[in-house]
Amino acid sequence: MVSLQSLTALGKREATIVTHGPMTITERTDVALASLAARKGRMADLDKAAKAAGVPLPGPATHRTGTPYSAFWTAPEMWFVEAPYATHELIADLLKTAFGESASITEQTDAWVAFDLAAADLTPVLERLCNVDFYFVPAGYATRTVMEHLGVYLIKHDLGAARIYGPRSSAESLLHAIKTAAHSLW
Amino acid sequence: MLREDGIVFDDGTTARMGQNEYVMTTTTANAVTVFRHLEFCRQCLWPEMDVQLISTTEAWAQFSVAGPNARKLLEKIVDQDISDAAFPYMAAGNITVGGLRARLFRISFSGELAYEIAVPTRYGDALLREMLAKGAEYDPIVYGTEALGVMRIEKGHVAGGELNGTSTALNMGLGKMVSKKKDSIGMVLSQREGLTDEDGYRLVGVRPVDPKASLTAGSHFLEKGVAPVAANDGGWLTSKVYSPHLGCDIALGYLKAGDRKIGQRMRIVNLLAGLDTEVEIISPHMFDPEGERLRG
Repeated sequence: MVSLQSLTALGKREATIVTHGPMTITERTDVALASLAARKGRMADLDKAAKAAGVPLPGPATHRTGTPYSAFWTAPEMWFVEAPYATHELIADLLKTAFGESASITEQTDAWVAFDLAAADLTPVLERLCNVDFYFVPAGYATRTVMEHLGVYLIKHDLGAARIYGPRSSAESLLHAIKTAAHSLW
Repeated sequence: MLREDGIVFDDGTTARMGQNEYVMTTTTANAVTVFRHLEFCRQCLWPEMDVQLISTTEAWAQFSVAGPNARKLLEKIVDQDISDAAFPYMAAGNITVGGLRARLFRISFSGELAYEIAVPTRYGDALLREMLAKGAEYDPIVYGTEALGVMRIEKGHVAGGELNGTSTALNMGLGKMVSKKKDSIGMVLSQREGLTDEDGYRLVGVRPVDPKASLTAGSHFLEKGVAPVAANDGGWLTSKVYSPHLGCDIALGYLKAGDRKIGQRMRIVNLLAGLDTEVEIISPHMFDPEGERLRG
């Protein structure tokens, strides 16, 4: 029987944690991710299935936390759904069962690297990394933006907590960009 | 995939993974442009269609496993029956590797018996190491695009040199793939007079009459005895490699009325390289033309 051992996006066995000054960057390998898109004209059915399955469907530019499912808006009638990897490794299959023919669901877990940023106030570092007005946007804000040359998703949990999803194959570059921005501050 | 003007845009594969689920691969260089094109089609050309698109490139680590022992090696890796009867040429499906979700495609760009196997990206490194270890008795090696380039030219498979933004499916010998029984993007304009000329460029294979002679991509086809001037230009070599199977340089090229010149001898002239070589025009399918190896 074949038994494969996984590597993180940074090529390690364990998730990377970096502390720089007052900020901590934590690689999150324990999040399962899938895209959820409404089939044409099936939004009412999708909404019903989401309520039954406990999947939040936040509006534009918004992330909503839940248990076990959290979600953020990515496009009209389309979301990324998060869940704990330990219990939802087969997140796409689980969502397909829950949503049936009302939605198209695609596995996205390993397509992205996720970094959680934590500090008293992340505004100085994020204003150097992207064009989002991090201080003024509300908690729960989620948007697609660009850091260095990379298209990323930025989620603001609160002023001192944010998550960045970047392309997995550029994980090192994204981490380097975050560390460089932090280095210029602290 | 054609552009609206009938010129070939890109080539790739599309596999049906479920009742309403497809996965499309493109060439690496055109991944973004093809995705953008699909979004344009979905949103602007056919907004009534019930289609959702998303990139899934980075979610999977995918490996080509090619060669006469490809199946034997993979039988040590995957949990399912992948005999020729159970998983024939061009089959595709969801499988498992030691219980882990995976995908298998029986497709070949090398011309060999070949599969592409995909696992979640975090397991890609481990899968490659496992295949090399478990398949040790078959002496597997990791091969790159140089080796693939040799094999695809031996098979007459078009790639970057031929997909040059000025060539049609007809030029590539793939005209029959563009169905005239239904509409498709590029079908109408690919039928323009200038693009369907019987004497137009056709993909051919080329080998030197003297097996020791060298070919150079970019060289021009000329009839024997004519002056090397533009008026006598018959076309050009698009891709060239040394073929260990055939024991000589081989090339692909676009030659005017090339499909009617198979078996003829011509010259390959490259004034910059100082090359003037007698060559034989052959089928672009230079090795295993019946495809027995890839269907093995």
